[in-house]
Amino acid sequence: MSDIPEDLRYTEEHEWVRVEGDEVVVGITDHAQDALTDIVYVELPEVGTSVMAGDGFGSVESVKSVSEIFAPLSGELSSVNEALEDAPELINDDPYGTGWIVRMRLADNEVLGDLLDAAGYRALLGE
Amino acid sequence: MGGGGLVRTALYDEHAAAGANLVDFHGFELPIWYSSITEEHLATRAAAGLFDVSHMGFFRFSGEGVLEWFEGLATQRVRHLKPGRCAYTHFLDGDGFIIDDMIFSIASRQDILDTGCTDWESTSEVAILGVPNASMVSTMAAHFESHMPEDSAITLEDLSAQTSILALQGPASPAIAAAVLGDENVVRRFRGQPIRENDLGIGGWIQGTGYTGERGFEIMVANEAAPSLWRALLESGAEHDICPVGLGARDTLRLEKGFLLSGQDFLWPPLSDSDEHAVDPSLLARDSWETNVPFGLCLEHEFLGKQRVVASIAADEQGEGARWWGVRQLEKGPFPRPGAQVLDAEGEQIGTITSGGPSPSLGRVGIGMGYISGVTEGDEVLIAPNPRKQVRAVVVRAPFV
Repeated sequence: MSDIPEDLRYTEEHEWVRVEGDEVVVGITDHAQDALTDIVYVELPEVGTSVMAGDGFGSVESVKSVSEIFAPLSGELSSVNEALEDAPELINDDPYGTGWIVRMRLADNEVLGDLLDAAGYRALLGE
Repeated sequence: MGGGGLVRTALYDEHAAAGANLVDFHGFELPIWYSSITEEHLATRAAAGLFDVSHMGFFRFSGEGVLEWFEGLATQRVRHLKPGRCAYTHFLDGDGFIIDDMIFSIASRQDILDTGCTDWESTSEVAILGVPNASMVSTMAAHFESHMPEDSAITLEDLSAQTSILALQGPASPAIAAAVLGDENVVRRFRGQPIRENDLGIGGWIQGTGYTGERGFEIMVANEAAPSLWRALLESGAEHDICPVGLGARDTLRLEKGFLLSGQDFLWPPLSDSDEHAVDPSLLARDSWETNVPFGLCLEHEFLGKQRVVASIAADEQGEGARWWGVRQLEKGPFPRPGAQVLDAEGEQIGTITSGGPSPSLGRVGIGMGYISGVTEGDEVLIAPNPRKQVRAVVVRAPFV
């Protein structure tokens, strides 16, 4: 059974979202990192990029596979976790902490309403 | 296989007990990894790895004139090979497209009897033992049957279901094979023989081949003998740091050596209507010249489909046509993966990657293989793994390590 913190929101693409002031932090879930196995590369987007919810803006790679990272919400990327460039395994080690991927400043009127809560994500995983 | 269920090899219990991560591979339930792909890969290069490749098929061809008949279908020369020799070949269809590739060995009549065989349908002075790819067993059997001589002199026996194949690979393989099966069974590279008398009391066939590019052996035994042989190799190999290896590392090991993967790096056109391919199947209909593999093709004999090979060579001399080249990334970026575009300096597409990923032996440098037009060793190209990125890479001739 994977770790699903109660205070986060989730997407069906196995990403998590944490609200911090007027920004959100985005990463991939414990379930996702476990399914990918050893993460060996993270393709990070440029800071300042504007994204629409659902846009692919980067990718996470294990030895065998590639997974796109999708914008969970619309907005502008305010920072990216540059530590992942040299230490992609941070996502395996600490997916909800040091393994965060991007911070976003949400577009006006953007709301978290469509994202899953912990119970909804747990149901998605069938756990 | 029955009821749509997965086929378990004779070693399934060993894999489950070892905590292997099992997947559906062409209908077989096989380990993708035990500890991790990277660890298993590096252990095979440094010491030894043990693979269950029982999903691969096992054919025995025999009858009067079997070498000559086989040579008429094979891109490799066959009739000059003496018993005890192994070789690699492609089989082409009438249009010259590769149906499948195969390692085969030549066995004398006595060799076959010495494997413990008691039910040989069609004894002859020599026989051929061949290992078709798992997903191609029925297709290849049908291909061979459709090209049988009218006098029915040749017999193909499909021994796949009753045979387990263990691959012991890596520099420590000879020492481990000697400890378990005795010095007499330590065959040289590309040599094969019946398994000689040994402490385990098992019979079968052993050949100095594999899919990792390392020194090693492929060992064909009856299913009943597979678990005891598997355990003995792991126990005896422990002092050499042997580890069981799954399909994940099998793929990265072969990629580093630039070995073709049937169904991924070439695909027979009639099988193309499946949608599980990352690469347009029409790009994977190839002949032996286009694969650029430096062995397995000989032009001194006539064989089915040869005309396309000859045409590809002529096109290549004109600077036209694509060949299967290696690419090594020159900068960090997403890895080359099946379906990634290969671009020239102007951004024009000149090829497509068919296999690729991080190279465990090269510190995770991105490597790939793909069909690329108009390039040669040392040329710089761009790999576009997705619409966002282009990564600089150099064209190389495999192997990468």
